[in-house]
Amino acid sequence: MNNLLGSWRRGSVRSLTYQWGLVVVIVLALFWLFDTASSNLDRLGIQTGFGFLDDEAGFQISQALFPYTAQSTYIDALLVTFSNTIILSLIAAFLATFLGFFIALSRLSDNLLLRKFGDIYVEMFRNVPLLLQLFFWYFAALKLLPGKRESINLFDAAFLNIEGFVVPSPVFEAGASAVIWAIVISFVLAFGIWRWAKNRQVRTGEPFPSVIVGLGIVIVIPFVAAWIQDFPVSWEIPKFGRFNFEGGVALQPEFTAMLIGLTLYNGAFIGEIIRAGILSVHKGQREAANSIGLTQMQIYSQIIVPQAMRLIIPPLTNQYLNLTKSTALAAAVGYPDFFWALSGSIAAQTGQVLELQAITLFGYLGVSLFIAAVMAVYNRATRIPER
Amino acid sequence: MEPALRPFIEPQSPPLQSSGFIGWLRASFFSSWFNTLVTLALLWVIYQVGGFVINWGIINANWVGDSAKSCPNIDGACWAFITERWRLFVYGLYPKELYWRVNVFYLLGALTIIAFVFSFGPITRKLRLTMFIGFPVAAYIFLVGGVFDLKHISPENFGGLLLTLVIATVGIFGSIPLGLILALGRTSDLKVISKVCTYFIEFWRGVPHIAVIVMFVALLPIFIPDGNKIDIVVRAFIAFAAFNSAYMAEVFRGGLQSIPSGQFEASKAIGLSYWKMMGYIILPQAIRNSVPALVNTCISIFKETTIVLLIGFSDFLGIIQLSLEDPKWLGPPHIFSSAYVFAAIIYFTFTYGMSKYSLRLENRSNVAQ
Repeated sequence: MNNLLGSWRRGSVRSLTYQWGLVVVIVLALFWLFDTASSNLDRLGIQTGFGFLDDEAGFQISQALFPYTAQSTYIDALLVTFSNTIILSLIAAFLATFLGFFIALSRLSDNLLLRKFGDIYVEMFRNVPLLLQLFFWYFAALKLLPGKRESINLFDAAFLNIEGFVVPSPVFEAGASAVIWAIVISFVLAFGIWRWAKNRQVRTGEPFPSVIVGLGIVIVIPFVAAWIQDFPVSWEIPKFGRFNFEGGVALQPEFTAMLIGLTLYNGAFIGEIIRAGILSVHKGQREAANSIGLTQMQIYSQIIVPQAMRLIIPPLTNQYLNLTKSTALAAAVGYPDFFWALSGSIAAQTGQVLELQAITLFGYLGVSLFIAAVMAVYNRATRIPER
Repeated sequence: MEPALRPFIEPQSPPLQSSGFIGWLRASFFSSWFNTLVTLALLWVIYQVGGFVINWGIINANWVGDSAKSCPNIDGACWAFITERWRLFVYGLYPKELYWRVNVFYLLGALTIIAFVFSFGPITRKLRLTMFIGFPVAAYIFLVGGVFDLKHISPENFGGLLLTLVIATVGIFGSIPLGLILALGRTSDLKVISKVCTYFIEFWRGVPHIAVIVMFVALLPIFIPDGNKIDIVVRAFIAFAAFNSAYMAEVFRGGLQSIPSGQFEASKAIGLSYWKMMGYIILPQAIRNSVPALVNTCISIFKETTIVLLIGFSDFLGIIQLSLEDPKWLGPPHIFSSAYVFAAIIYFTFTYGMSKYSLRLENRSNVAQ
């Protein structure tokens, strides 16, 4: 007995007891939840299982990347809407980063007026709920656009009207795949040269204009490929026919509103993240770089940005995660995203809430984990090597 | 052959004035031709936007009326929509004769904020603790009632700004203790507890909030024994506290990690138990360090309250959206714009206030270190 009390005080037995206690409690709780759920489901006569996914969906999706009709299955509907979520997140993340970069620049500028503009922008867009902003763009701002016949004409190529944004679409003819391959190969080549040049500079100190050469490769090789194949990619310009636009791709107002809202909202956050990252680089670094005679361009690209990146990446990852998760608000303006499909039509038609919730949670969780993993790889690559 | 002495350099004009008002103007606005260009362009933008705001918001605005017809001028705001409906926006469907109870709630909320913003000398800490525990209790007594002869009002009747603030209060006051426990669990040396807390936190952080709320509202009835009923509003509250506790946990973890390990080692060396070490040494420092991040999380919780409108609640934004779809007010987009601008100003007032508070705390702790 004395012995037992002693080991309890020492902590080894105690910690094991706590841990096993927690495990037992969790297992019991899960078992209890499972038990009540299955008895409730039996009582309500709800069948469980994922078999319903092969049934015909029967509803339309207004934006589909690959062929989808009302006769397609629920699985197809989920794939189409999932791709919509991904597309929206990718484009919005790209645009928001671009915007955030300029906001950070303006907030770090010498010009007081420009700095204040950046401040006001960030405060305004960061402090108002995203959903309210989406409502504003969808129900108020985009409704001010003219009708189809009075579309705003942008360079005779793109047309903006109340039913959406009609933009030219690429047309791929025979031989287009060669051009796409050329683009891929040129990027790989440029990246390889960049790596080689960097390694050589570290080893021998000899610089190599890798950026200019890389840009040249990325431009010239695809151009030559396109020239050989007699320019197989052309743009189909939308034209107003009798009642409607013919040709081109129409971006729906729902998509446009989501894109504008997500970009402006996340741009404010990303601008703040980039600014904080750049400011966190010690003043001495800039002064030292100045004193050894680097140009402003070199100071930024060689000294400030590489160090700032290490501080920017973790919060930026978080912001991309937030952005992706907040695309689920698309349901509010009726853009057919993953969550819209799962919580709307499919849930109403099948009543399989349990399975649909599982798909929702694990779908988004998968995307989140994927982004986190990608950014972790990048983070590891840019980490300061520990000695 | 080079001359031994170089010729004197030509006399140069004195450098541009760099101090005083003129110097400040030059450095801030006209330091280069590019900056001058930017300044002029921005002045033009200010002129245009300012003119638009004054014209739209004041000169051309329609202030009173009872339907969309009273806002014929589409180049001006339609504040009539707000002036007619503001009671609904502020009190929701709370019974008119009991508005005083909501006012008491607002007043208590304001007092709590004052207790946290200003310093009251030696009683500050006790006052803050009292408010932190007392405010949610008092809020429940006054709003829901059912005790002390106060008529019971179901939370389903809450709406408008009241519901927004109630959800935010539940989210903030519920997630702080939960988050603290989760953070302690995650940083614990006990492997199993740490893993369980980590998975719990990462799960909630990885899924969209609206999906969590829909899940709780739709699925909670399946997971509780037959015959029990949890009010739909309460389900949303639980969901809100649950996923926000994961974010709070990360805030506190940041605070815990900012404590140098010497503090832990010293506490263990003088023989403090885990709880004494945490309670007396670590947590007081860690919590103080995490307050700015905590306030930032409160800002996002406040903004996130809007998503409850997607499950059919009439929070502040929800009730405005509902009123906009009322046939009486259905009209041109400028009514929508006015309503959203009004809502944005109200949300902004709260969140901007909080962000300034967090900035002040941050600056103060920077000075203290």
